[in-house]
Amino acid sequence: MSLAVRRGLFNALSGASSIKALVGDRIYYDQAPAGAQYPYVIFSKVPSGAKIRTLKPGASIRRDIWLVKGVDRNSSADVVDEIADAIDALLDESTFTVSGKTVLDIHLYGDVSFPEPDGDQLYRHAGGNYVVVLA
Amino acid sequence: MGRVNTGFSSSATLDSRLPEIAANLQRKVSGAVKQGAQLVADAAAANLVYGPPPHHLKDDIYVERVGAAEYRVLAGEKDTYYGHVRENGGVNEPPRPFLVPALEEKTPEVLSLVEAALR
Repeated sequence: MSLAVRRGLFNALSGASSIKALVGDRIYYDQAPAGAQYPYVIFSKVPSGAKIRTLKPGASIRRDIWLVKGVDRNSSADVVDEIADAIDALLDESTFTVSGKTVLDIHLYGDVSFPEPDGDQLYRHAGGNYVVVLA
Repeated sequence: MGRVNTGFSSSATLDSRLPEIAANLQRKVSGAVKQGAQLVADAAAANLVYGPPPHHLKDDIYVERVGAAEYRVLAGEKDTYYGHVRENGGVNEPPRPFLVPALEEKTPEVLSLVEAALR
């Protein structure tokens, strides 16, 4: 099921004009490829999923958490904060298409925002963890 | 007309006990939340393995009081400052969350502790 959600989330992110305007096609799962240009979007699954059984035989609900964030190499956090805002506007209390499943709910679980110094470079990360509930 | 005995002799008595009840409740709930936060911290530490010495993030996960019945679980000290990068990923490494999974795993137990404190 993770693969279907991953594909659905990728399609939602890459299809959003607000995100494309900020990062182009640079949307990556788990980790950006070596040499990727900044800024970009990273999304990955937080290993915390739960299957919730319902009263209807054979029917269950799946609740997962996905990290979605922007990454930029910049002394300023402005660009990465814009990306985080665009991600949140796209996902929080919204929906997207997952093949074979229905997305019942997406909501912000918690913000993610931090600088990452590396040598003489400063990288910025901003986005959030999102709960995705599927039936 | 029937009469219900509330155990209080007057509204003045009732009013005067409310702060005491509230304070007692807050103390009980705060203790339960603190205990729950420690469960989350222990679970987060269990999600990590020891790397090369001398400093280990696994040993630097702790609970901090934020306010009344409010605690947070923190990971990382001066020599293990990279907890947030491990949790959320860095430019050279993918995310390897250990805090959110711990919170998710222990939330039912934390709720049970708070419920028990409220009984």
